[in-house]
Amino acid sequence: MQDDYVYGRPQYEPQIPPAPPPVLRTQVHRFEFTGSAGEYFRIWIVNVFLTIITLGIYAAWAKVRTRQYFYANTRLAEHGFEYLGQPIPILKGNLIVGGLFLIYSLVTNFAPLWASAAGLALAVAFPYLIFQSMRFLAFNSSYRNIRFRFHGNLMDSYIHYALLPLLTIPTLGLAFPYIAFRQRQWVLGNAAFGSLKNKFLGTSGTFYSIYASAFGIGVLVAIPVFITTQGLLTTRATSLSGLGGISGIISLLISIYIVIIFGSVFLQQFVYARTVNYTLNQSRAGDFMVFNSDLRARDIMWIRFSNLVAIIFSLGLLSAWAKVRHVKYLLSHISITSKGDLDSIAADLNDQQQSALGDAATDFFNVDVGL
Amino acid sequence: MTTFKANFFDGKTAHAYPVNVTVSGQTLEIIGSDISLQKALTDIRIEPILGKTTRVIKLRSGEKLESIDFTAVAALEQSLGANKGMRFVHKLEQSWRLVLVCFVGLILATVGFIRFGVPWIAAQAAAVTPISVLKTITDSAFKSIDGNLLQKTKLSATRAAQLQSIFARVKNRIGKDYPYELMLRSGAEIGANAFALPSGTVVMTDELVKLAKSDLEIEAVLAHEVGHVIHRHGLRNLYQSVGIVLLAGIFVGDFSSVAGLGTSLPALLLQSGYSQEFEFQSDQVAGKYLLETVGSTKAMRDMLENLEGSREKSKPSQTEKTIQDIFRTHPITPERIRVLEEMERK
Ligand SMILES: [Zn+2]
Repeated sequence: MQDDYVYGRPQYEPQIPPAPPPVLRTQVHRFEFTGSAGEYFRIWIVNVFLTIITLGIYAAWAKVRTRQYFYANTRLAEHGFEYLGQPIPILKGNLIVGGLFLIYSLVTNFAPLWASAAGLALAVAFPYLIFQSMRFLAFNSSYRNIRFRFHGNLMDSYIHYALLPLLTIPTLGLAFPYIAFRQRQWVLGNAAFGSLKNKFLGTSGTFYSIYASAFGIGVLVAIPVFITTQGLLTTRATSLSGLGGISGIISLLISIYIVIIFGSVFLQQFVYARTVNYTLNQSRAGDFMVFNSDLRARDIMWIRFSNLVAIIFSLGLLSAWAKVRHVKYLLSHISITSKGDLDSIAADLNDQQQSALGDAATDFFNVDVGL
Repeated sequence: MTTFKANFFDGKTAHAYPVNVTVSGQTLEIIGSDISLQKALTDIRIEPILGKTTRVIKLRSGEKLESIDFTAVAALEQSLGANKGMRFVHKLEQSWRLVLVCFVGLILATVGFIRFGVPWIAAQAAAVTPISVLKTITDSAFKSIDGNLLQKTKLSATRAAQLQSIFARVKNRIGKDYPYELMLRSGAEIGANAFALPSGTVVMTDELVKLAKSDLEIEAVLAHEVGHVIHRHGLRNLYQSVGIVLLAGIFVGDFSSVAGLGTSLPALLLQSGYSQEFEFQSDQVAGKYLLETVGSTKAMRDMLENLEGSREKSKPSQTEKTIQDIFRTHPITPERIRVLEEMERK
């Protein structure tokens, strides 16, 4: 329309400068979650019901359905994501992992001598399972019919999930932020959307400052809590008269324990928000795409805390609502900036061998792999 | 013939092509400004419907269609007879009333499963578990309590030998093939007590020996414990706990945290005590043994009363629940005595 108007102008108007060469316009696309708590609640109840009455077999279908629900409702630039995992391979993975888990728990319980061997076997297999699960998850995620990829190799998985963690021992834990950084770097630096490979530009310094602030906040909060409880304890102790005093101290100790638990949840969320922001903001998909994440630590802490309370008081029934609420918040604070349309991104047509085993295993042990 | 709008993705780039999809006969026609394709209906797969999310149709050659024309896609799905199971699941998911039915069903199924399913599976699993496994479990469990909850026996060597020969008599008569061992211990903390571990290790405390008014009463107790062994009650208990832990895992959806609960299983084995059903079953064994050897179940009944009496005495105040109570695996005494009496009358 505008072009027509320009070209339709009479000749005697001053000549407009020639159009600049076609610069790709920067576009910002926000993520959005379109699912609803009620709908997901119903899907969840049906999932659990069918899983129970099929003695766990339906769990594979339930997992596919849950993931696909969250994928399809995650929308970016007018299109949703798709989870491509199929129930049957996941069922096989579940059966194998379930069997191994049973053996493992029986062994650790009844044959303590063998338990260390079983633990060692698990530790040796762990990086392999992480690696498999990353590949499986990436390969089975697609957007606009283009699959994601994970290009990391098995060797590096062992370096990042077996060797590096050993550094915590001689450094007395001081290497922890560095290890977290290296693991994120490996995961994000090897992720790709189709042929568009991601680069991760972050440095470990920021990880150290994130963990240091978390530590600082922890100490700042802990000191007054410690002083007040110490004071309460001594006054209680002096006025201690029989059982009443003791039960008072016990209830005080329990409340300190609860404060510590909630406190560590808060700090975890703080670290989570900061690292997600940092790692996403430092990710570049080719020269084409930049991620932006502006999660606010205090929002996430509040969501996490209120979710926890809601779940406890609803005996778990509100966990579906809590999950939707959490995801909605996360996605509403993440966006991408791209040079031009996303349309031109091409697929990576090389085949990758996939196995659902790692996925089932990491899922079973609830391993957090990266983001 | 139906036509619906869709987005077409060729799988090569992220470009979305708006197209019209027409179903006629056995073919699917995809027409857009740059696209014109014909596919046999056998070469497409419709992804199951899920909430209000976009419908997805996959072409065998790797392309994909996305449509929000729910009616048209559902009609196509129906005519192909595809996804019958998942269409039913979707029907459940869409209705609050059916979800409520599922919820009630879920609770009933869970209760029923815990009540009947888990015990049944546990019994089957226990029956096929090799004795070598029982032995490992027993050794590990026994090691964890011997030396702290159980101390060296203070009985004389002669008395101990007498008790061992009583035990040998019982196990030879009704014991079947288990590697039996009678462990005589002083049970300072657990008081008068006797319990059996899965492979046939029977622990009896000095306190119980002293509580018995005759050796026949001790023989009755040992027969009862052998009853627990031959019916594999310990192992069944253990498997039931594992089953419930796994069941909890399905609910919580996180096995690692639930597995943490299960790491103290040997402790569970020692603490949980048997269900009433198991006690009655072992009483049957002891009762039968007594009827066959001395013609009366009186010794067992007397012993139950002795134990009940010592329990009353050892309980200084009702509020303090000691470890003793946890270890008492013989509740419901009056009912058990009544059943033993009935056995004798028959
Ligand atoms: Zn018993």
